[in-house]
Amino acid sequence: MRWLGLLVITLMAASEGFAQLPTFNLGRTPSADEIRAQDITVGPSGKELPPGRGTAKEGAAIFEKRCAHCHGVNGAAEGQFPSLSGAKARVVNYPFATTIWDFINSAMPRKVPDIGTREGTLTAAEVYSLTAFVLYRNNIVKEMDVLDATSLPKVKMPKRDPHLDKVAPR
Amino acid sequence: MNKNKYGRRGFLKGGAALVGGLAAGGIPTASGQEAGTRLIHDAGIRPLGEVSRFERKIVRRGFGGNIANALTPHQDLHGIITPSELHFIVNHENGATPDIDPRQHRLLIHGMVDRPVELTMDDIKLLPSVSRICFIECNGNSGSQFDKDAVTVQDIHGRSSCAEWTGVPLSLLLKEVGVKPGAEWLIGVAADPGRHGHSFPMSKAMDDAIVAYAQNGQALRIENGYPLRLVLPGWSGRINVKWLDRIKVVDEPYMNRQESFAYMEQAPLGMGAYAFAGAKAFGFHHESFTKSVITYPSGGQRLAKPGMYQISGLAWSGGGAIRKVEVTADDGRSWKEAELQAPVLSRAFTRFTLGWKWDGGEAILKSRSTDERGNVQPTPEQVGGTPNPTSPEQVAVWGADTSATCRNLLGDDLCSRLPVRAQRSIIQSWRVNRDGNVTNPMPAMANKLAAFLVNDTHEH
Repeated sequence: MRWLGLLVITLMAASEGFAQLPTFNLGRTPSADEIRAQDITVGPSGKELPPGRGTAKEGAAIFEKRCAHCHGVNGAAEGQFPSLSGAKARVVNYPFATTIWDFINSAMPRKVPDIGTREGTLTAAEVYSLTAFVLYRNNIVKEMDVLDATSLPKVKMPKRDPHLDKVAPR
Repeated sequence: MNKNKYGRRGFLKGGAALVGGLAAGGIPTASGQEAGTRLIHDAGIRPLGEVSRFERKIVRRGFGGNIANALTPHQDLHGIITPSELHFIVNHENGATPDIDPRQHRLLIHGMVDRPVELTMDDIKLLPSVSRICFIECNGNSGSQFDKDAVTVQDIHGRSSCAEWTGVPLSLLLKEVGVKPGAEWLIGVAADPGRHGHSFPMSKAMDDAIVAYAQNGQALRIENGYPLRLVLPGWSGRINVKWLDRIKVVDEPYMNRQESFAYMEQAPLGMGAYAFAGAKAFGFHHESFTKSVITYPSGGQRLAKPGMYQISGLAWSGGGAIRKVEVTADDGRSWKEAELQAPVLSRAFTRFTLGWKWDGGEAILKSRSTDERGNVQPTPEQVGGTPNPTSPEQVAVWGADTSATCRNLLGDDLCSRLPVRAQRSIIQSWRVNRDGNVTNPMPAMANKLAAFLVNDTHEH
């Protein structure tokens, strides 16, 4: 009967390998690579930011090619799509610059007129460059400032009010 | 049913004979419906229940014509459950809506957990389930109260609906994956084109959050998040992430795009707690404040003649159950307590009614709700009269935030100085005119409020 015991143990081990809710024996364990591929959300600390770097100067050319069809030249859109510079731009209200990086990376660029569809993807360096460009158009960084995983979370956003930072510092 | 009177089932089959007029059948009315009672024989019965041809005008409408933001027609509904096909939708992706194949859909739970997991829809449905009736309300609901184009209760308050949601308690899933120490927040992420994500605190996740796959007994409607969504009872609509495909357990709020730009005026401090306080100050003002509205008689409706009417309306609160609704028919000079229809459920619509005799004169109708925390719906004067929502006066008017969430995050001292939100819970007035037409009198107060809102946006 030793072989039977061994078989049971082997089967248990095998099922444990992919059934991950311990009580209900349901689900599958995703590999680290699988999680990484989906784990694209970047928070204020920036710890999920990938390697890469970019400047507003580099971003200008990419913006012209990939973004201006919706957001207008230099981001000054007047129509249906969000304005990214000037009086109507809402990005200046974001308290953290990482949000801009996150949204460009996870949701842009889009096709027109079918804006529900992505139009290809962007490399990390392109996303850093485009983030820098949007910040530059709103006078938040300089044209040659380098944004990367270290500098982006440190960008000081203008609408982040210091008033309550005193009572609830982060 | 009397077979002799109506004939054998299926006697008249197919084509034009399907509709056998009993009265003056076949005469189209001005609205295009055929007048008169008729008989549908079995060949005419559809697999899905049908709306009467006399009720087909009761549909969602987009305020300003945008059907991607479609509002619930409260003026034509009864009880507390919003039929699934009439549940409001607000879409921040210009209407782009994922139509997901459930066989391919997966929910990934990862981050600060011991055992990350990927679940299929079949896996999720094998788990113990809960069903709960609760409302979901868009932050922007009632924001058009003072807009002269906002006529009906649907136009103004249609971004709130109530359904029975069925799914797996999020607390169960979190116990199964094992939450690591320091994991105090979660992000729900949608499989929509904008990858909408939103942070919410662990306390809410462990309290009553549901990973829901059913709405009023059926699979979720596509626009309401098919095949899977978050339901956070009583909390702002956009945190109830639709088309949910990922939950990440994290240590702090993540400031996703939509929590960075919109609706922050409803947080305690003007443009948002975040903008002032950073991440820690987030998350405790996402409960809908107590609110009520009379749905009959309401804007756009008409009373045929003086006489007895049953005033009817809805009340709700993100803070728990409705304790009391008072109604006035004389512009607030006298208030009378309405009857609350059972069931009166926490964080759900509650139906209230009150008999009223209309004498044919002009009348201003209003309702005012009080929830189990003792919060009372504010008047426009209370809101308009205090120019700075960050001021101590706001705390005096609305009370401080005493929620456990606030105290846990910020401590008693700060929470005692933070007003609870109430700006979009203003008491709604309806004017019954002498000709019986009911109108929205609130746009006349708009100038006063507009000045206040400008202050709200820029004062910090």
